[in-house]
Amino acid sequence: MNQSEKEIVENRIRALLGSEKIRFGRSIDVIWIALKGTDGRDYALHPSAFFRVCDENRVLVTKFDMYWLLPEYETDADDDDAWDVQGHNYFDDWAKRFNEEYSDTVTVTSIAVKENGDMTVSFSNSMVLEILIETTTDCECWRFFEYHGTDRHLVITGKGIRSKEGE
Amino acid sequence: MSEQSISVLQNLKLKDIHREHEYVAFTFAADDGTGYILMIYTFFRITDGNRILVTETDVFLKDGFDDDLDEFEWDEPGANAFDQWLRDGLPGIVGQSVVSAELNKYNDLILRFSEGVVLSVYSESTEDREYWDLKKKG
Repeated sequence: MNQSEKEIVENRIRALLGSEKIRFGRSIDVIWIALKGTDGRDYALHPSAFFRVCDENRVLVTKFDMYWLLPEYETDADDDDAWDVQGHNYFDDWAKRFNEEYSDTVTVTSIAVKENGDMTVSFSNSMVLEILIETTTDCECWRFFEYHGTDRHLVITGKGIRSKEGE
Repeated sequence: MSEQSISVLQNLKLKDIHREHEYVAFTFAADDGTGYILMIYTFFRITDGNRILVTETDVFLKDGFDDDLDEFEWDEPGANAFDQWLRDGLPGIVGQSVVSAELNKYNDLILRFSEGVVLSVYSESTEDREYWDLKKKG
């Protein structure tokens, strides 16, 4: 992404700074992160690329945890879609605990975007969300938008900002 | 895999990168031909400064691909973005030596090459499983 694209991205995602009521969830394999901005608007981040949430010492959850069944559901492993049952995989388990323990208390303390499109979001409980650009192609890596907003979604691909209308 | 065991890669030259279906193997060797093969089963990226040269996910993608709309035989040799990079970009990294091999606090494997290129191998999930292995060549 060139400098001008980076500035466009930084200007858009600045709305997330100070956000609260942060919730993680998923619809099938689309992970969503919902945030309430300081302007009262509801924002969403959809990382379709590899992401992980870490604390200072370890990785707490990653994108691919959604495909790993919790031990109590491993007997369902022969079913290719068993991971998709809400609450049966490691991502859902972590997201439920995060939402219960932190949604009402945690805020976004900083946001950073690199020239390659990687994004880092730091939370007030010392957790950090890293979204890593997963491909060099023009396929989508992450998306930012306002729920029910009129602005176009900001879509980042392996080649920078997707500029085609209607996407 | 410990920091000590990956240190065997230090000073070896990258000789080849080879894709076998969804897995990618990196061959490292000394001048006498002895060396190691690093087999990767997880997400990785090769970067040069701020530029991403290729990623593991490129194996399954190509420009313009939309998995909701398109049929795409990613495993056909040459069909995906990774194979295109192997064809067009590989010479730039092959021949470079490993100047450092380390595991960071998140257990990511980081190999730095002599001309600034970096291979970063990430643990794809929090599950305790094999993400890569290192075997003696030959």
